[in-house]
Amino acid sequence: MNPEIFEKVKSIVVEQLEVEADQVTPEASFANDLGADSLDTVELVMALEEEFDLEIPDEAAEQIDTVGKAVEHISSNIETTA
Amino acid sequence: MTTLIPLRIGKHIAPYPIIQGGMGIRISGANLASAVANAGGIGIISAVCLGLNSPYYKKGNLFKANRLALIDEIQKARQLSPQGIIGINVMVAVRDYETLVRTAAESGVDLIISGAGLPLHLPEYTANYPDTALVPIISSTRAAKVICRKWERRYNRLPDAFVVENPNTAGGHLGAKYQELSNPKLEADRVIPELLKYLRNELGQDIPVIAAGGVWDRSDIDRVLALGAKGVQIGTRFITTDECDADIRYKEFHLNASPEDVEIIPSPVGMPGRALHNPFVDKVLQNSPDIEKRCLANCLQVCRCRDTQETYCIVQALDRAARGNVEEGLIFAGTNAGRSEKIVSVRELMAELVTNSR
Repeated sequence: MNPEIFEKVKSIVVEQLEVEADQVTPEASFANDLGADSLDTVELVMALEEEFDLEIPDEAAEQIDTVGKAVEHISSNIETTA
Repeated sequence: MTTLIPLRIGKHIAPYPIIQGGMGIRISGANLASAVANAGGIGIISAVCLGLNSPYYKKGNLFKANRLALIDEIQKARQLSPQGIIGINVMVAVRDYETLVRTAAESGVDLIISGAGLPLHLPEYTANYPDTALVPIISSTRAAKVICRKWERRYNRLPDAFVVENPNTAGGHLGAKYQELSNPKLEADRVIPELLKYLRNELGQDIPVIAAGGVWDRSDIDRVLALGAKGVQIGTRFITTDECDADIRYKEFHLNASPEDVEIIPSPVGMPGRALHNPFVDKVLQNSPDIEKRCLANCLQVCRCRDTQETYCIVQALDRAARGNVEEGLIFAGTNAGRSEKIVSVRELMAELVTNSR
């Protein structure tokens, strides 16, 4: 896992979901552990898209249910477009 | 009393800033919508599950029947009101959402109002029909921001208006969690100014905002217009009219209700709903074993009845009520239900709303 991307994702999650930084582990589930509802999730995906300047398709966004999966998705898509 | 100004939504201008809210199933159909449109307001057909009581319905083809019945309903409304403004309301939570939206746009509706979920893909389905105005229903500025940003980025367009529903007073499905209900932050006097500030200052757009929930008489209309709304959406009050498409027993149940009969009950879509107390609601709240839980047609994206055998089949419950079974059906209502003294024509009701202050 790319530590730089993880830290960036973590700070966005902390801000968007108003959670403590130590709750944001790679395994943490947005809905179950971090209390995200459907609106939170859409907002979070949009914030990530803006931060990393990429488009996360809906089908991919639906699969991203943990912090770790978000980091994985961003890492692989930044690499392929770079 | 403020002077009422015509309401412009996209290319469509209604003489009076009054939208009749979509009420399903078959509570607001072609009759009610066309009557409101003919009286100078905007008439809204509820597009959900019209197939159920149509000649097209045979077991297993509900979505096909829904589409054909929607085409008929829109045509009928257009025949009854050739010049009026006619739209549909369709909730995002139904599985045939995309089909219903596309069908309505092809059938030439003037506007599409859509809530009970975020209508993030709405512009994609109506791309070939630029005159069809798109109006999301929201309960918070957060939801408006998400919709505006997503639509602008993906489709290079913005909503033609927003309906801002107050979950503390509206009928039917409510855009809030149970624990949030009755919180003053959901009230129009908080949300509307905040939303207008976002639309004008951050977005730089003068998108009309329509207030919904708890609007009953002219004083309510004047109150929300003073907050900066350009119009109102009224649902419950249009039920006690001659033209409302529901069975007379449904209208009389509304007429004889009192505001104390209005209750919050869970809906299988996972949102709270506001409805009139009756034996059916009692059974739901008591989790009675004799509630119908058979899945009729797999009609919802998320359905607690289908998925976990909780709550009830909402399609069958709403349909029973609309056909007059007021004991065993679900009768949605806003908090003002029961304030009607008699069943009147839409023309009389509209005349009262646009002229009287009380």
